Amino acid sequence: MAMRIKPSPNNPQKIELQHISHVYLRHVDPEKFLAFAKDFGFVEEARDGEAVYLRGYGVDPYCYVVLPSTTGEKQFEGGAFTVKSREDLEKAMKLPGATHEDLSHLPGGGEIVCVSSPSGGKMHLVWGQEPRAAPAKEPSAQVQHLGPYNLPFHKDRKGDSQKGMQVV
Amino acid sequence: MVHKVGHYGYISSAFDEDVAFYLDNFNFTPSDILFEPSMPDLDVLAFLHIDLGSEFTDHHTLFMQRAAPGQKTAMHHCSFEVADFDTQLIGHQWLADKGYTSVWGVGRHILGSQIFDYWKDPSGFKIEHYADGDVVNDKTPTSRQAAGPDTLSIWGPPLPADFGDSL
Repeated sequence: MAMRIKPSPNNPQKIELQHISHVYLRHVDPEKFLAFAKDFGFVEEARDGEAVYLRGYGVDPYCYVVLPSTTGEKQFEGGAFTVKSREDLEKAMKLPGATHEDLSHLPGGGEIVCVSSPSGGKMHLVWGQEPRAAPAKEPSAQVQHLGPYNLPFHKDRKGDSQKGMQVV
Repeated sequence: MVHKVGHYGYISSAFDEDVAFYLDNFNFTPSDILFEPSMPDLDVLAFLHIDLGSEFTDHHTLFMQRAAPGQKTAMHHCSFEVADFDTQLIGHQWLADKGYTSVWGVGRHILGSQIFDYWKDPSGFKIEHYADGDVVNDKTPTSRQAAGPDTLSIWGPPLPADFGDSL
């Protein structure tokens, strides 16, 4: 039985995604996870009811939403993607079982549509969310100035130092 | 500190239907497809990127893996970008010093090229730090090859035997 993935070229009927924005995960012990999340490199941005919104330093107002488990076990609630236009959100609302929610009370605001894949995996489409102002330079840089690597035969970083950040 | 969410992936018990759902309804396009070596017509893993035309985008934002017979649909891992190799190694030692459970890493993937580092969070979810991933556009061909450990990493610790399982 041939079960090769069939090519599906892009066309105007499709819902146009722009980028992945955040994921939703339910934890049995959210506070225990949040201690790990801080060590992993997330920053807590907001809380709303039982939900905790974590961000990185990119444009997304949050990139990880921590929720309590509803079943006593961990649960993955899907990823969220920004869409290119309001029209794309409207297309998503026509998918079977689609639900719509307002996000205006959350960082960045906007609105969201939730849909399910055939196996029951959730996916979310976001429109109208205000991006964060991302820094011009990666804030976690560990060297004063990360230039090109000096390779054995190609020393492209001439007269410039890669030395570690001075801890003050 | 992490930059952003880069991708997540599922093991799907309805792989063909799920892949068709994502490809037919959205602007996802496969960057790399793996097939079962003993059954060359059976695709088992798809790395999908968001097709932004000529604009470059991450090699994969979503991946789907065909569930083994009897295996249930489950999330495999979520992945978050960090700045560079130095940051990753500092992060690895930091998490190890805190006593967290390393799953696989640090190493470098072949498909997508990311430097990877997988951890198990206290709830049991797999979570990844990555850096230096490939970006693709509409000129990048979709490649298809046999699945196997050799498609996963060019260097790094040995692949854990249960890495393909959900948690």
